[in-house]
Amino acid sequence: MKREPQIPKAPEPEPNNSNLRETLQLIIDEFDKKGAPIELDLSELSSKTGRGADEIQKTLTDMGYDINESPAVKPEEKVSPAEKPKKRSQPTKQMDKTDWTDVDHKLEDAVNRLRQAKDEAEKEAINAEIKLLKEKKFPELKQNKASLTRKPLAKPTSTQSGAAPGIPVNVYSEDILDQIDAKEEAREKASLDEKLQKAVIEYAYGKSNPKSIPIETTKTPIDSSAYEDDYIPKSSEVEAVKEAVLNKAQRDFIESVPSKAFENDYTPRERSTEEGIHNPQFESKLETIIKKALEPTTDINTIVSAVIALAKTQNDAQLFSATIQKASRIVGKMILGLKSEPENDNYSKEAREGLIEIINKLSPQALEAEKNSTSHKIDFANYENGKTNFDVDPEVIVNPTSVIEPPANPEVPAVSEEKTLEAIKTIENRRAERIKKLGSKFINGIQSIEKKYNSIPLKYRLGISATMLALSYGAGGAGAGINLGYRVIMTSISMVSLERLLASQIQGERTTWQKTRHVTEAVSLAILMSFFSEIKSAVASGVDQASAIRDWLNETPKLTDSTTMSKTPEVFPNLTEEESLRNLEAMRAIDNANSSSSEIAKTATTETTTQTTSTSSQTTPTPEALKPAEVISSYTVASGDNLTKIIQEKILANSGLEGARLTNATENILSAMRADPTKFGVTSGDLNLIKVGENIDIAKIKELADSISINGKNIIETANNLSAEQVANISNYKPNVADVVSSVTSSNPNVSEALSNSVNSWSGEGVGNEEVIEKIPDEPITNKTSENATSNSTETIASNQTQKTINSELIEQVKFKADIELRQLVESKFGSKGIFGLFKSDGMNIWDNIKDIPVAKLDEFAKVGAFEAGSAEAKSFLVQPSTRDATFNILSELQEATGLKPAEKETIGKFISRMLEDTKMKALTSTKNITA
Amino acid sequence: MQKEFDTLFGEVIVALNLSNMSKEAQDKIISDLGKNMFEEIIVSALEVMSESDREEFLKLEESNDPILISEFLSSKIPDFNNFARERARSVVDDFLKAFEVK
Repeated sequence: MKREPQIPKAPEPEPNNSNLRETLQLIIDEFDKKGAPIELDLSELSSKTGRGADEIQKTLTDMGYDINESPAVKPEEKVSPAEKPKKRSQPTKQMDKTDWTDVDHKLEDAVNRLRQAKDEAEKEAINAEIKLLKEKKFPELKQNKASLTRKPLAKPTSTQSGAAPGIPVNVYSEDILDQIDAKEEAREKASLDEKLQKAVIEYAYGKSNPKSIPIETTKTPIDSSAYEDDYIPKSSEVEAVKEAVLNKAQRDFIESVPSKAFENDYTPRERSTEEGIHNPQFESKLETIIKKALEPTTDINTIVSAVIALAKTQNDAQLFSATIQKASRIVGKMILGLKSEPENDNYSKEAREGLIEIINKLSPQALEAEKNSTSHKIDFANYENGKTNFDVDPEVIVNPTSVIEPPANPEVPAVSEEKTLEAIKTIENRRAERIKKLGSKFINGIQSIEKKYNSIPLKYRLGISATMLALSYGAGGAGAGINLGYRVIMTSISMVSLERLLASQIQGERTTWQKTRHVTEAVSLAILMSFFSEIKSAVASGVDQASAIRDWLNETPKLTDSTTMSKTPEVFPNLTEEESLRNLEAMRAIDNANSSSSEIAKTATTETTTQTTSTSSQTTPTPEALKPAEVISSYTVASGDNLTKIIQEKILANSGLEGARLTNATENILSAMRADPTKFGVTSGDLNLIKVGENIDIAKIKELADSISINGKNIIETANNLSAEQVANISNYKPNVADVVSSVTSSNPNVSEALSNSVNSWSGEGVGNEEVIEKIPDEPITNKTSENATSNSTETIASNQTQKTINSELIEQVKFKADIELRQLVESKFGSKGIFGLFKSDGMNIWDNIKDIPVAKLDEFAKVGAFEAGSAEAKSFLVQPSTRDATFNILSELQEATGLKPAEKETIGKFISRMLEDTKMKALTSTKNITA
Repeated sequence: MQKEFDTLFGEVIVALNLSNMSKEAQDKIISDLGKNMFEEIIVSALEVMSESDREEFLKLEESNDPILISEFLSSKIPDFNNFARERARSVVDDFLKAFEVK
């Protein structure tokens, strides 16, 4: 907004004891303006200014004035106090209207300044000024006063102590002057109150018909005598009038201001400095009104109305706007004050919202005023010398400042919330079109995700959003991005479950974080994980930052103890233990996914986790490398876990073994555990059936693993010493139930041992040797079998009792083996790491999940959404296409080996048993034939 | 932590030129932007998936299992980490373009 150039302002004279010269000049100027001779009463001036007559005279002399003797006072012409009112009402010398108004304004101004003056000397100086003005306004006062005539630029002829020559002393009594002062002061006050009262009527009902509307009654009625000549209104009554202004405004000013404030016939009315928006009292008044917003019972509309009413007293569109902006800045400062000292912020949320509401309601008023002000300029011509008594900084109007400081980049214009939300809406609308193209079910799907996102507590959403914002902004590894990313870690992760990630990496002992209930919505967490890898990389690039993180962890030990956990359940009160554990799994997966960022762990753990070994790349690790990655005594099974995974992650993570060699070492440990699984916390006694929440004794497994010796070598050395052929055999191994059954039945009735041997065959040179499992024979089992067999061994083997034993044990073991095979098959298709997270069953016994499902139903399972049959576990299991495919594969393989087909309603379990039985019989036949 | 978060949040606010707004407005806008980045990643991922993969994703989403979802997205979208960041960045860019701020 542009405005016309302002007329230069002349300095406002401020008579006080430090500025005697200016005071005198002001008085002299008044005489000059009227062309009247300069008549000064040095005694009076001395009394009012607190300066000696000599000093006044000297000052006048210095100013270049010659002071002459004045005519003698004529005592008989003095007017008695009793006569004064009548005479005052009829000035002996009629002033023209302009002069009268001018003097009146100055008197009003002086009286106001006198009310505000604190210094006695200043008061006296102002009194002197008032007196002169009064004399000017009421010339009859001077009738009894000796006058002085000035002889410009003439030096005084003589000086006297106490009174200058030619200057009358005490030309009229102090008594008369005091009476005049009191009455004039009362008159001025009444005049102000009249104006205020008039203002109330004008503001509330417009100027057209002010008298038809009575003034609003206030708590303190206005005494009608206030406007009688001799009445001096009480201060309470003055305040009551002012209050009436606000009360009236509070009722209906919001609607009336825009229309009535900018009427074309509007002309600025006289205003005092007390009403000027830069006057401290004015600002104080604004603050007082606005601070009411912090009181819980205050109606915000009342405050807004009061502010607008106060602004309206400026009676000018631009000043109105400037006042509203000033009020807005006051509100803004209050808000910022609350924000900058949150620890001292005792105000309620409602109070803060109230302040926001004030700004929101004031802004349209200010904008409206600003818009209208272009056609309603301040009429500076109405003010003497182009000066108004409003100290308005034009910049306030031309360049109104924001309530809150603008952004650091001055070239970036501030944007409104409305426009910002509009921009976001545009983005959403564009995406909505893309979602439509995906199809209706995806619209619902996205809405579901959005709903879940919105259900996250705000602080979490802000944490997630800030993380994505900061990292999408800082992508590319720029320094700013790294620093920002670092702060993201320091902040947002404390608000989402990712907060545990660094703790797990930096301090392996902090395993209790696994029980955290800080879970955020799954998809958001999954996506956040993709951002997190970069954060970690960013952090890893700076040692200082890593140290800072360590310090942070040290400073916040409560994050990992149970006390903290008990403090936060309300965040997700309905979270089940399974969900908690699933979240834990997500955290662990992040660890795995970001293993490339292990520099941070190495850096930060140097001092804090001495037992943690560094990542080893050596091909022939020492036995010490068997130490687990994390020094933990136990591990709580989570959904998706299996013992192979647990052993590889908790026992062999730092072994340096990979692929087939890792499999070999793992299977050697598992084989050793098989003797007594319960000893290691596997309560089912079945290594393939571990339960969520079960505590696996990692320390004992490690102890067992350390004790394993194969040909004098530990399991790590053994694995590393595997030949290339053995590694290839393990890698290429594809379990075949028929082979297993064949090997078992053809080797030894002791199927357990035989099966172990068979299992060990997966691992090449595994634990299948005499040092570990002594019962495993070195020689072909057929030889041992023949020791107890007759020449007609086939009959012995085929005896009913033996056959029954073989059948029952074999079936059970084959079930077990089938289970392993199924898993192996899945792993061969989808990889070993984490694949079992895909299985939704509580335990890991896949066999139990599928055995009761009719084979014929598998065709239906192939169709999405058509798996009504089968147990609940089967449904849960088969809902995963990858698992379903694996089931198909194992069945297909068995059918190919046996050539059998499932009966119409035959279950998977029965069908497999039948196929195994058939295979067994074939194997027995084959053995008999061989033996024979 | 709260102080650190306020610092970070303040930087994001300045970067997005939201300094002149109330705290409530800032919170809402940041939260909304996060939601939009979030959805942009999902929708963009679905757009490059096959129909069967999309179906599977919806089922995984219902499972509320972050690890499954994460693994699935990583398996279906090449270099998913960068993909996600680029899509999130596109939302920020679109947002800033609305005000011709770069």
